[in-house]
Formats: sequence, C-alpha cells, structure tokens
Amino acid sequence: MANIKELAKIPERLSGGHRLCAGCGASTVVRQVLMGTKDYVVAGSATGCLEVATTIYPFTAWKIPFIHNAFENSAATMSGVETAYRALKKKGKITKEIKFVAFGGDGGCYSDDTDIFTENGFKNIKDIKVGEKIWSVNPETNELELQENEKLHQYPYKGAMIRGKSRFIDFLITPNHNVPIWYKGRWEFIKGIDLIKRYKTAFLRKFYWYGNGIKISDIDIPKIPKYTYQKEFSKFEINKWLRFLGWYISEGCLYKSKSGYLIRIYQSNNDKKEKIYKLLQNLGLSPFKCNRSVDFQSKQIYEYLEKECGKGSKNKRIPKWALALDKGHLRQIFGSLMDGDGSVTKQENRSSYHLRYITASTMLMNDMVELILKLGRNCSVSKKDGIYRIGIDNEYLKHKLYSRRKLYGDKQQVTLENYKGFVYCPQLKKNHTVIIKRNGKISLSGNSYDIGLQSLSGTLERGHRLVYVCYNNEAYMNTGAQRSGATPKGASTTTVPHGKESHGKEQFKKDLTSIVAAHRIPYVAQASASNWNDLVTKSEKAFAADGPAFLNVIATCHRGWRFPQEKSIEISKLAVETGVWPLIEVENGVWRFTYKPKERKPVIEWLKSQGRFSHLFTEENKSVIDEIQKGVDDNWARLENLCNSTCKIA
Amino acid sequence: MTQVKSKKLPLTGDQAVATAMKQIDPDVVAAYPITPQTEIVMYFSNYVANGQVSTELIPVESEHSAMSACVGASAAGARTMTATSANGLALMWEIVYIAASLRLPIIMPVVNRALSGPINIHCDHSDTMGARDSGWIQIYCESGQEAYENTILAVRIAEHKDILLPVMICQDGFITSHAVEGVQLLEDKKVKEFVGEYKPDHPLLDVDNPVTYGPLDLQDYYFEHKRQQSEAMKGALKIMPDLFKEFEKAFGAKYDFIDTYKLEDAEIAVVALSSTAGTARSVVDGLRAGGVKAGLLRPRVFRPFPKEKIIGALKNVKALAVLDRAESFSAEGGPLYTEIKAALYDSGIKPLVANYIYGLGGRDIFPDDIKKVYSDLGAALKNKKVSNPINYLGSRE
Repeated sequence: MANIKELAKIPERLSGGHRLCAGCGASTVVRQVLMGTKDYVVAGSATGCLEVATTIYPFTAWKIPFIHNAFENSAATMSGVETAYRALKKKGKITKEIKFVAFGGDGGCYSDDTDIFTENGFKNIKDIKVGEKIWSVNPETNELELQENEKLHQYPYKGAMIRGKSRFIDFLITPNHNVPIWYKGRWEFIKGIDLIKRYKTAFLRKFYWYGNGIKISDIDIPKIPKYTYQKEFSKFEINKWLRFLGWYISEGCLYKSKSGYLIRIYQSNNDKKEKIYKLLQNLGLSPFKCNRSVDFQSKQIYEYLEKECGKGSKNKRIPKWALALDKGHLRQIFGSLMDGDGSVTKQENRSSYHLRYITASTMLMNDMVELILKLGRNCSVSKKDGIYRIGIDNEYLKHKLYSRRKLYGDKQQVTLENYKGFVYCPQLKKNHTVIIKRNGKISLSGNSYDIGLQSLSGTLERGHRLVYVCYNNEAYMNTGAQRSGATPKGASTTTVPHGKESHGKEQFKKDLTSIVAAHRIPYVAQASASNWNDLVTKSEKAFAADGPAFLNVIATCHRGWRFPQEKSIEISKLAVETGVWPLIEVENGVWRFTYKPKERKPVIEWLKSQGRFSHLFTEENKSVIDEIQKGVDDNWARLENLCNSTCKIA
Repeated sequence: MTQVKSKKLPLTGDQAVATAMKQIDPDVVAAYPITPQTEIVMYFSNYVANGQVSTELIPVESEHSAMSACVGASAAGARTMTATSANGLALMWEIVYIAASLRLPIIMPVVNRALSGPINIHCDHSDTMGARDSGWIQIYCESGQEAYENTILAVRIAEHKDILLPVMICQDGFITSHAVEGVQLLEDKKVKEFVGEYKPDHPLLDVDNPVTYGPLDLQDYYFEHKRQQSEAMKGALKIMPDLFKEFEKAFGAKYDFIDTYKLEDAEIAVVALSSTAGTARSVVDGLRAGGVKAGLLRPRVFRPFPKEKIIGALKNVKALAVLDRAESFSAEGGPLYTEIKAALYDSGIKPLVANYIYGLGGRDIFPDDIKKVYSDLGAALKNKKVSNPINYLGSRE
C-alpha cells in the first residue's frame, strides 16, 4: 500500500506547466504512475495528446529525459533506449549509476541487511560494486571461485520474505530467490518459497579448494639495506614460515625502539612457548624466551611482517598469497592460528568439539572465513564489543533446515517475515542462474490498441525491461475522438457517429490487457486514477517486475467522452464501480482482482454520465444498453473464472 | 580475424560489410533480415553469439521497429547501426526521416534491391533513390572493398560534430553483396583507432541533464530546424574531404566524392553509380584502344550532391550519358540524370546529355549495352544533337 506522506516526497517528474486540458485523465495517470519508483526514469511517448501538449518546442514539461519518435512505435523506440542503456552500462560508458529498478529472471534478492563475501571480505550487499570479485561456488564442481559482480540489482520490496535460521544459516530472501540446495548428491535450485513446503532441506556446507596451483617450496624475504650486525635472510621453508605467520598473526607484536626492531610472540602456556621457540630456531632465527613471550630481533623480518600481516591487533591479516595456496599449506597456517587465538571446547552432552577463533581485526576475520571455507569447513561470525567470534563448524558435508523444527524460542527454522525496504541482488559473471536487470524505463502511450500493437508485442516478446503504460482514453482523442479498438460498444465517435441507422460503435472494445497477458510477461495490470493507492502499488510492482510490465490505465477525456471537466476522477471511479473497468492484475500468470466493489453498480449509471452515450437513452436503443450490461457481466464472470483457475495452479 | 594486416580474404559484399561492423563494434544494432541484406544480419548475429563484438543486438519484429529502436538507442547515446534493403527500407520510411531530423548519426548499409511492385529481389537503386530526400548521406559503392571501407568511413562522417547526419552505404544487391571478391581487410586495432569512441553531446541517458527528444515543432521553429538539416548537408561537402584524407593517411585508400576513369581528355563520357562502373571501365579501355576519347564518371557520394566536383570533372566532355538504375516516373528521366543536368545548367559548360535507364529488377547490363551508349554519344557528337534523350537500355520494346 502506498503511503500518501511518502508519495508526497517523490519529486514531480511531469511539471504542472503542460498544456493538457484541465481535468485530463492522462496527466493524472502519468504522475501517479511515476510515483511508482524513486529511481531515475527515462520516459518515452507516442505521438498523441500527452506528447503534443507536454513538449511544444522550445518548451518541455518533462523534468526527466523524454523521447518521442512517432505515433505507433513508442515501444520499439524505448526498446532501443533500454538496449543502449544495457550496452553502455556493460562498457562502463555510463559510469554514473542510474538507479534502475532491477530484478532477476528466475533470481531473487536479499534484504539490505545481508552481507556478501567478496574478495575483500564481507561487504554489505548495498555496497557491492560492479566489477568487484565475489566468492561463489561452481555448482558443477563444487569448487570455490571468485566471480566478478556484473551488476547489483536493487529494488523496493514489500511483502513476505523467507527467513531461514539455524546455528549456521541465516538468510532473509524474497520468495522467488533461487536457493541452492543439496539434493541426492548434487546441487539443485529451488525457490525460496519452497523451503516452507519442504519438511527438511539440506544445504551443502563443504566446498572444494585446490589452490592456485603454484607450488612454492621456499618463501623469499626481501632484502633491506644492511642493518648493524643482524643476520640477513633470503628465504624460508614455506611450511615452517606459514606456521610462524600463524603464530605472529594470532599472538605477535612488533616493537620498534632505539635498541632495535623486536618481534614478540605472546604465549604463557609453556608447551606452546616451547613449540614457538623451536620453530623460530628451526627457521634459523635467534629467539629468546621471556616470561610471557618468545622474542627475537630483526629489522628485515619486522618490516616484512608489518607489510604482509599488519601491525596491531586491529590490522592483522593473512597475506593474499598465502590464502591462494592449496589446502596442505593452508592447514599449516590454520594450525598455528588456532593454537594462538583459537579455542576448543568440548560441547556438553555431545561428542563434538566446538572450535572458535577470536580476533579484533575485521580484515583477519574476513581472511579467516576465507581460510575456513577453503579448508572445506564452515563457520558463523558474531561480533561483540568490537571482537569477532568465529565459530568453526566440523567438516560436515551438509546442514539441514527443518521447516517445522523450532530452535530459537518459538521461532521455526523457516519462517515468513514481513519486510519493507529495498532488496538487492548481485549478478555474477558465471555461476549465476538467470539474474537480470531492469532499469526504470517507462513508456507512455495511447496508441497501444491498434497501430502500436505490433511494436508493443515485439518489445514484450523480446523481454525488454520497461514499463509500458497505456493511458486508455478509449478513442483517437488527439485528433478529435475517432473510433479505435479501445472504443466501447455504443459510444458515438466522429468516425462512427450515432445516427438514424447507427447507435455508435457496433463492437465491444478490444481486450488489450488479455492480449498483453498472453505474452506471459511478469506483470500486467488494469488500473484507474480514482483508486490511486491501487494504481501506485501496481506501478511499484510494474517497475519492480521481472521483465516487461504493462499497465492499462483508464484515462478519462472529458472532451471526447463529453462530461464536465471537474468530474474526471468521479467518472474514473464509476468505471471501476460499474465493472466497466475491473481492477485486475496478472502477476506471473496469476490473475487477481485487486479491488472488487461490494456490489457492482448498473452500467447505466456509467452510460448516463457521458455525452458520448446519450443517444442510447431512446426506446429503440434500449436493447443496446442491455447488451452493454451483458457484456460487462460476461467479462466479469470470465475474469472471475480466470482468477479462480490460475490461483489454483499457483 | 585479428591478424588481418594486409591480407586479402575472399568475401562477399555482405560479409565485407558485416566484417566492418564487427571491427566498428557498435553499441547497439537493431536489424530485421531481408534479401539480399540477410547475410549481413546473419554474419553479425554470429559475431554477437560468439562474443566477437560487445554489441547488444535487438532482433526486432520489423524494419519499422528496427529504425525506431535505432532512433531510441542513438538518442540514448549509443553508436547504433542497422542494415536493410528495398521493402525493408520502405517500411522504415517514416522513421528514416525522423532519424535524420533528430540528427542521429545512425549507420545503415543498404543492399540495393528493386522496390516492389511487382515483387523482385534483384538489384536496382529504386529503394535508396526514393530515400534521397530523407536527409541521409548516401554513399554508393562499386565493390565489396568499397562497401567495407565506406562503412568504416561512414562512422566518422555521421558522428562529426558539424555534420551529425545518418549515413546509408549502398551496394548493389547480389552483384556485389553476394559475389565473392578479394577484400583487403584493415587491422582491427587501426579501425578501432580510426572510428574512435562515440561521445554524444546530449544523450538521453544523461539523467542529470534531462533532455526532451522529438518535441512538437510548430510553425515558429520547424522551418529553422529543417534549415539546419540542409546546412548540415552543405557542411558535409566541406568536411568530408578532411575525413577522406584522414582515411587515406590511416589506411592508404584514396577516397573522394567522385571517381573518374580516363576522363581528363574524354570527349564522350558515361556517368554510372556502383558496380556498373566496373563494366563501363572495361568498355572505355576497349574504346580507347580504338582511338575513341571515352571516359567514365562515377559519383561515390550522391547525398550531399557533389555538384562542383562533378562539373569540374566534366568540363572537357562534349557528350554525356547518365545511366540510372532507377526510374523516377517524372517522365523526364531518372534521378541521377535530372540532378546532373540541373548542375550543368549554370556551370558554363553545356555538353550534350542523354539518359539511359537500365538494369531495373536486376536486368543484366553487358559491355555491349554500354558500348552502344558510347556509340550513341559518338553519333550525337557528330550530329551535334541527342537523338533520343531518355532511353531504356536492355529493355524489350
């Protein structure tokens, strides 16, 4: 539901200085539709009242980029604009982030409090940049891989989201989000919503990592200008060196004073102290044991450690080259890291052990997670008083979520939560399912029913990410009310006037909404400016839809329909209340009434309200009114049928 | 295909143009297949499918939508191309004019084909000659090589800040589009350098500086906007020679508005567009061997009309035949003929001029046909009179 206070904050995109008639339905419709997104919008319009009245050169009423091409081709024109946007975005030529309302084809999105694990550690999903490398898992080989983020999708979301929570899993995703699960020994993707229906779902917890394939036996230490009498080193044996780095990262400190460059590994446990002492000796260093530490001096190593692993507990990190090594090497550094700041607790009443690592450094926390994942384990991270606690899982292959099992108080492991805010989704170069983008393009047109239908159909079929709005004034109004496919039965127009032998238009109007819905695009709706909340909500859905979206909005024309100009909204309302213009939507193939009048008013009230039907109120045309009522009733019944049948399938 | 330096490849004209498009690597291509242009779309789609270009291809549902999407994409700020032939060009007609009036530098290779009806898929120039007043620059190519090079050159012409007009690169359907010839390809890198990056001044997608494209333009401004279009076309006449020179400097190929053959001292000459010039050239050689002072003029650029160049080249010619591969139904001859005659009117030179409409619907033109034209000119020269100003060459009477 749209909140009128929030809507008031959205800047007007079509300024009031346009030259549309006072009381024109089109401008009201346009402004309400444009409230459906806070993002940048590019508008296109077909030749018609809207374009003619808003863009008389050298003036324009549009505060957003606007393009008009011709009468019948606004859909094709906007498909070009949308494609250009994608092309230029891809090439980085549009560097400025045009906030597009984005979506995934069969993807879905995470709530904005989600972090994503990137090359540079955890990052809030909102802050993920295009081109940034994100850790992902190749579903075919189950290997960890860095993949480039091609795009971050972001769109407002309101409604139910799926919460999955256990000791090692916590996510809040949209119901259409693709969830990778472990099923019968391989990966499968299911929809977030399906988690609710499943009794239990297994998640793979163990990924493979084979390292970057570079074999290193020794590690080179950069030389420094000769410093006093100290021994100079050129290389160390890799495994020993990694063990030492682990100790340093967990427990080490660097001190610089007049007396020299000191490296100190804190340790009060005598066994461990001995271990460190021996390791340092093995490396060829000259350590000495102190009360609560093992120390040694070397400017060369001091500088190396400061550069590679950081100085001070908040700046510690694991060197990138070390993280790229294979599992055997990683175990070396992991071992001494755990010997340092790690802890092992035996869990009560269980045979398993609980491994935990503690650090104050964000960089180190990120590096540890990477290390743990690469070792085929999994972990959870919590932060308290500036200290990260990383709980390390055993090498379980999978982890199960039970939809009905209660774990936290009364909360089930899988729940539905209401969410309002933005949802985001990164799009990776590889390993993605089809996650696609939309970009807040809108196309406004009154020529959709007839001459523009081919161009519209092609655009819908090609799946361009744009919202197509038909402001439906039920005739060719710009040229003075000529009959069109949208004109309802019985209406008198200049090309089908009523007369001795004619009661106006003979045929019922074309059902464009159904024609468009047959393209199986993600979102199709009929709306009316009188039901503004319904219209704005539908616009939001259209902008957020997964692919092309279509809005058919009844737009009164007091000149063509012949009623007093101040009655525009009243007449729009009457269209809804009589069932002449049912408020429906087709969301992913499911038809639904978004509003149903308690009791439909007789159609005669609608006919009475407008001059274009006035000739019907004669004895000989009485049957026409009956036919129109029957037409409305039949359509209503058809829609109810559609709603019932498609709902069942869903 | 990256190692193509100084290498001749056997390519059809369509392939050559598709290769040029690949090397240009435009941002957006929106195209609909039509014989004999189809191969261009096919080859280019392959490049897209294999990731050899970074182009976004819009497989539109009609030519009308192709040009509509091109207008949208080009206005948005993308380097945009399409390609078409005959009825396809006719279907996009409405938007062809709009593209030019919006000053959008869209590049469109056109493979000339007879415009229906009756329906015919073979070469003549009725399609692009009809579009001569649409505000597009038109370049006519004799060979696949020229079609290839002109496609690359066209990018610079169209996007030049003082021109900003769309360009059609025309080649003869089947005759060049489907004939295999050795095409000397330019280096990918050099082409990329030559075309440079497209930097539009007021792209639609510059959301910080919103602009309105295609506003309603009434009595108070429309005229000035059309005037600007015609000034741009005149300006192109002055600017294009610089771009020809730049092209020559980069690739060694010499370009000009016109191409002449043994015209310097010629007394009788033929004017022809595109591939027919090749046939005419061999006829000239034969005639010259027999001591006849015959020459040939081939306009390469038809829009803008290079009047000064044409007059300059014809200054010594005493009798002239203009060959038109299109009929204008004015009852006064073909489009090239009327324009050349108009150009001669106040030039001070007054050769005898005859018009020969030929090759409609792909009817072959043989050396003997052209020989007949020259012999008619010789007779006219003798009689100091053109016996029949408008002729239909190769048509059954």
